[in-house]
Amino acid sequence: MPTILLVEDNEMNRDMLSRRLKRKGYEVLLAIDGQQGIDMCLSVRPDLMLLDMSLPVKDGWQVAREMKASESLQTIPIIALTAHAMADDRQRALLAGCDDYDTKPVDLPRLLGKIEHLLGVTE
Amino acid sequence: MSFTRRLTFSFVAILVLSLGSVLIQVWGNDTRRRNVWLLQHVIRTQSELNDFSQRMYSAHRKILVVDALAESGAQNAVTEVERGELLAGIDVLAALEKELNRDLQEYLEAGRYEPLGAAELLDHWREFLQANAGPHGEDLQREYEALSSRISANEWYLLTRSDEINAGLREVVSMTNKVALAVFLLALITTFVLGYYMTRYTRRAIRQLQKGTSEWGQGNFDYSIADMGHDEFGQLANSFNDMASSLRQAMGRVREASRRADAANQAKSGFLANMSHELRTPMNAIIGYSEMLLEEIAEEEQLSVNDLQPDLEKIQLAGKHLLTLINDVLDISKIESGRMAVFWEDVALDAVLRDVEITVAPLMEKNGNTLHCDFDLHDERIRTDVTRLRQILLNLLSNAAKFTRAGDVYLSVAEQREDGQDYLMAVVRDTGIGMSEEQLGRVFDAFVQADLSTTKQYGGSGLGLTISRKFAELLGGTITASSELGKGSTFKLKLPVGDGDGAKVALEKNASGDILVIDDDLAALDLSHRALSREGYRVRTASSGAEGLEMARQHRPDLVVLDVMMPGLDGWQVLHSIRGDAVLGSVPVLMLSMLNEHDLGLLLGASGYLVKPVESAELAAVVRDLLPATAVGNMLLIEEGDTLAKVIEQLPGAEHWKIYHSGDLTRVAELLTELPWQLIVMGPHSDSGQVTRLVAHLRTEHWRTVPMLMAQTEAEMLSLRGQLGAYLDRDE
Repeated sequence: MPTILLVEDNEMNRDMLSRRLKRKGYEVLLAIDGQQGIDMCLSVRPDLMLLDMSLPVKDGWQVAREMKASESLQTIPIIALTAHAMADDRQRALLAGCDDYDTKPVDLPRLLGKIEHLLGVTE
Repeated sequence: MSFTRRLTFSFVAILVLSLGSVLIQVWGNDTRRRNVWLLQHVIRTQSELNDFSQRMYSAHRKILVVDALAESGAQNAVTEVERGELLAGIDVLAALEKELNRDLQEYLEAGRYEPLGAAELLDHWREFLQANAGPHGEDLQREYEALSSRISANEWYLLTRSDEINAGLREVVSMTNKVALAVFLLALITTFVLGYYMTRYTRRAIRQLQKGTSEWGQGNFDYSIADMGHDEFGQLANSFNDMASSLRQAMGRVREASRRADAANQAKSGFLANMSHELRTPMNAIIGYSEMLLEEIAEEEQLSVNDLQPDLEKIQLAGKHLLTLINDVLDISKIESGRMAVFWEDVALDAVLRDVEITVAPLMEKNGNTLHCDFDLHDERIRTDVTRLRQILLNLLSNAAKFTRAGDVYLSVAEQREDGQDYLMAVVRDTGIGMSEEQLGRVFDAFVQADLSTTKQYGGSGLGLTISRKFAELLGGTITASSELGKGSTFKLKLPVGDGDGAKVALEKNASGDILVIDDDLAALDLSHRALSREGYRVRTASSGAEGLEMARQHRPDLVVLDVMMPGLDGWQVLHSIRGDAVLGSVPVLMLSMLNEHDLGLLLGASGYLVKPVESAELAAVVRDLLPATAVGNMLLIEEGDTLAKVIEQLPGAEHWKIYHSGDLTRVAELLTELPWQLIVMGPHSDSGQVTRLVAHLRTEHWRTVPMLMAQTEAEMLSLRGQLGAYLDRDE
């Protein structure tokens, strides 16, 4: 099964989403801040990254920019997953380099649809 | 010198010159006329002298002839007739001589003529003719020659005189001509110079003014016309500059207002975005966990309740966090919309502070902090809104406790007097993580905890300080913060406080509304009853849930105070029944309980929640807050006389309003600060200046939400009647 890296600093949300994704059969890796997220991409190379935007140490927009600027990491699809749900937040996330965007609270079927779509595209 | 003055001065100069010219002309004319007259006379005298000389000569010749005839002996050579003619001729000559002498004396200067002195000769001639006596022949000849030479001399004198007069005449004519020409030229030059100067000056001034106006026209309001002196143009320029400066200030104010409006707008949007973010985060956990639990329950048959518990607890935790957030946001919106009433009351501050100290003790313990208190209070009681004060202190202290680990938190409270006003100064200092300059600048902004990571790490809604500051401002005070990264933070609260005497009288008996208190503890029931009656509410009591519910249905109170722990039908059940009742459903319910289940209470539909034991003042304050405005509508009626008061009294719905009626504006100002107002009616008042100021004050931000109706004239009072009717009726 594909490996998903979930970068999320809120413990409850991390726990909840990782368990739900695991129940759907994905292998889930966890990072709790932006820098850790990038480090894990380098070491583990997940198939997809779920990225919270308001992160400590290095925020999600910064992480997306660095990932897309790096030759080795730019192929990993990123879905921005954020509670920033105002009109221009989607645009901001996509501009930073995220491949897709979804808001919290998570609508799991919709999120799964986006994950499968991106994994399908890259395979 | 002013422009007009210069102009006047120049005109006067030209006038004076012209006047001079005219005078010279007049003088010239006069002199000429006099000289001509003199000349005429001199010439006439000349001709007379000539005539005289002729006659003398002819007389002389005749005398000579007579003498010669007499010498020759011809006795009767001269007839008597001829002698008579000669004598008559001599008389004429004498008259002529007299006249000539007078003329010479008149027209010639002394020393420049010789008197003719012909009288002697004429006498000798008479003697000779009458008696042939006196000198003869040679003597008469000599005398005649002497006279003749005098005549010649005088002829010469007259000639000279006439030449002189002629020369004088020419001189006067030439001089007056010269003067006239000079004056003309001078006037011409003056006019030309004046015209040139005026044109040049005016053009320059107008150009300067034009430049100024065109600069301002292009929006450059900093431009200022250079100083142009004190004349009319200078004054005009100064007026223009003043106008530009007023415009500049007005533009500045407009820009500032629009900048503020933009900033406020931006802050509002930012607040909304942040709020959305903050609400979605716990919502994500709640929805996520519940969906997951539902899936687990559906998919896994062997699931035990114990397996579900941890996730349920997480849902509950996230739910509670969400509720705190919502309450805080509601508080903020309540303050911002001006619906947060201030309840001034006399409190024993010492007790409040001890209570705060005890309340925060567990928080301090949690992070291993030590709380040091230092209270320096002079007055036993002070006048403030104790609920807000408590909330501010608790917020500041819980923040200090949250951001400090194994350190010290200091709370010092003192009273201070500044400019005749008493202040309560509370300082909360900690030895915690502190803030950077940048963090410090934003610390009171909504949702901005020092940074996002701290929110995650330290929890809280991120609204505590915002609310605290707003409360402090609501009470007329301030909160300021100072901090050093890594060393700790200090928050200073400064609140104006009253002396705690007298002022409270105004509040007593002011409130109105029906309140039902339901409590099985009779002592507590009595306490609530007394506390609320004292405020002026009509209080009914019930000592059990069932009885209370029955009374509530019967009397439809404006508010229910409900004890939770009761035998039989307990508080929660009563609350449930009330909320389910079609009529009572919206009545505010204040729950009283020994247990601190504030959030749960609100969740189950309580409007307010207080933990027993409840202080009278606190109870009154919360009740006042919870009562819908309709039941305790405070109407401030400002008018001299009672015309409007009588009108309002008779309007339907007026009985639900507590009407304060005063024409004394000082009293009105006091009332405005003392009570929360729902409606202000402004009737006729003679002191229009004061009224204008009052109205301006009431249009400021703080009062914006309180509707104000104005009626100054008869017609306005009539239309006000309709408006008021609508207001009061709506509340019915």
